[in-house]
Amino acid sequence: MNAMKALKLEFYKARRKRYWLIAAAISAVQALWLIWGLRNMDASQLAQGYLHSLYQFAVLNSIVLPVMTGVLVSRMCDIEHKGSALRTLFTMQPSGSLFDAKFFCAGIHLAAVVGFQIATILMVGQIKGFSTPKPAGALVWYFGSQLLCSLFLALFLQILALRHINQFIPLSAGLITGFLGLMAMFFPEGVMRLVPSAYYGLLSPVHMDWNRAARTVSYYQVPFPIMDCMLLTAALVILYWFGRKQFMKREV
Amino acid sequence: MDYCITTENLTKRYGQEIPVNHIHLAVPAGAVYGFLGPNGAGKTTTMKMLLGLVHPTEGSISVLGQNVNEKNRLSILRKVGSLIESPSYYGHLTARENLEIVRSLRNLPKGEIDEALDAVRLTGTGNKQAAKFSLGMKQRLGIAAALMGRPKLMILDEPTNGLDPAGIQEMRKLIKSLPAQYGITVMVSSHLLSEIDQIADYVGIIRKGELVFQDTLAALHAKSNCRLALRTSNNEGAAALLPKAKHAEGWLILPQLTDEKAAAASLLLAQKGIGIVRMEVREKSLEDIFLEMTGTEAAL
Repeated sequence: MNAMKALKLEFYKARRKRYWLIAAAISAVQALWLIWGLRNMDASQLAQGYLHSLYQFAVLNSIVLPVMTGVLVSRMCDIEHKGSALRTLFTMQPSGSLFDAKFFCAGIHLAAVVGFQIATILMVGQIKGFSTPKPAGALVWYFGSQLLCSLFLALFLQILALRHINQFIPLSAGLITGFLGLMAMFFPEGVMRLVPSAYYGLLSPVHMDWNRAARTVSYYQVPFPIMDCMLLTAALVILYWFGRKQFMKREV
Repeated sequence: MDYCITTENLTKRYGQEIPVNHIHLAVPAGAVYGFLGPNGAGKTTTMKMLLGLVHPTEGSISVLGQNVNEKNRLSILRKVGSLIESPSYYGHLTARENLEIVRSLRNLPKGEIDEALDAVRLTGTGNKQAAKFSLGMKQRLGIAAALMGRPKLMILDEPTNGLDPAGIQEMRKLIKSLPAQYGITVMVSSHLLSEIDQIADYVGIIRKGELVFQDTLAALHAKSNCRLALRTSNNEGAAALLPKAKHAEGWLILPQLTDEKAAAASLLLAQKGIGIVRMEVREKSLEDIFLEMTGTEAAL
């Protein structure tokens, strides 16, 4: 079955469900958080405005996006469970195509959220007058890395949401992953790599340095973490292969 | 005879449990085939296997003349409509939008939606959300979805479940009309013997995963053949004279006899001085047959 047609059908099925609402609400809260954090900054601090924004959003994402993804994905999968729709769909549509369409649909929503974050950073930078040039490379890197983490989580939660009729399971998994994302900053780096939501921070183009004596924060760009990126990409590919295969073998 | 569905040794195992055990189904084309059995006999699992929703452990399935495998399953099912267990629908979408999904997946022309809604008399409620439908309307929506694209075969699993008496009547009428009106072969399951008796031409009876009967409904009725029950002044003596007679609670049961043979038997007994106290015709009801075959309480 044509992938584009399957994706269009996913959006058609989403009528009246307003999946975008949760994404819009989370994006709005994150934008307000950023604006609030910049309100009292002086010129020297605003010079680091872009880096500050990228760092802040990456940290927020590790806590908020797993929860948002859990809500989004469970709502997308719940419509199939509620009316026992899989029994009819499996006689008309290849199950793998349905799995892919749901994943792409979630991916588009998540790309929109990360895209909105970048638009917010640029807009706030314009309004507040960030004095440094726009870090185009870091912005592209940020978009790719944050989307990669979100896709991994969406895939993991989609597998749970399609497998279990009770949507409390993927929702709880989203909440737990968000909580782990919050705690991951305190874990040693080796342990961090085992927590999917920690990759929002691990893959972020900007890291922070807290000078305890001077009580100042400085942000700096890091080299591209190629190993972490490859690790997460490999995990995504393996999870996709496993999850899709399981879904295709499923009896309804 | 042409068959729409045939299976060879169709089996499903879940560990030690065998819900479907080496079934040889043969559903003739252009007929209503009633698939009868008590709850838990394996009807739904069998139908799900026919549609590829459950994977057989063993055996083969042929639908519309083609052996079904994972590669050709969906192309074969394009000509098959189905309703398994309960109707499938998206509650937040209208009836029309639900059918639009089916139309799009089956690449059908737009007009099919109106035709399907019309066939199940949902035309006036096409723009109402499916969640607000009664169970009967949801069931009809499920049938409308199954009818989309004029399939050659419809597989309906207990389609009258949960319907009120009027809805049941209406559904039966619709199912019965499908072969003549649209040329559709129907395989319909039920645990209600009376239901199958009213709508089916052929019947398959499944018990604990095994097909215990498969033939025309007329052949099932023929199993309810008449027997002659006698009570005589000397049942032992009468039994010695009539070797085919069997004792049953003070009666002698003779197999179905022609009028001439029945007369000869009574004359023989009279000649030997055995008086006939009672003589009556006994007929096994369809329920008795079903009960014998399924070993469970017959559902009327």
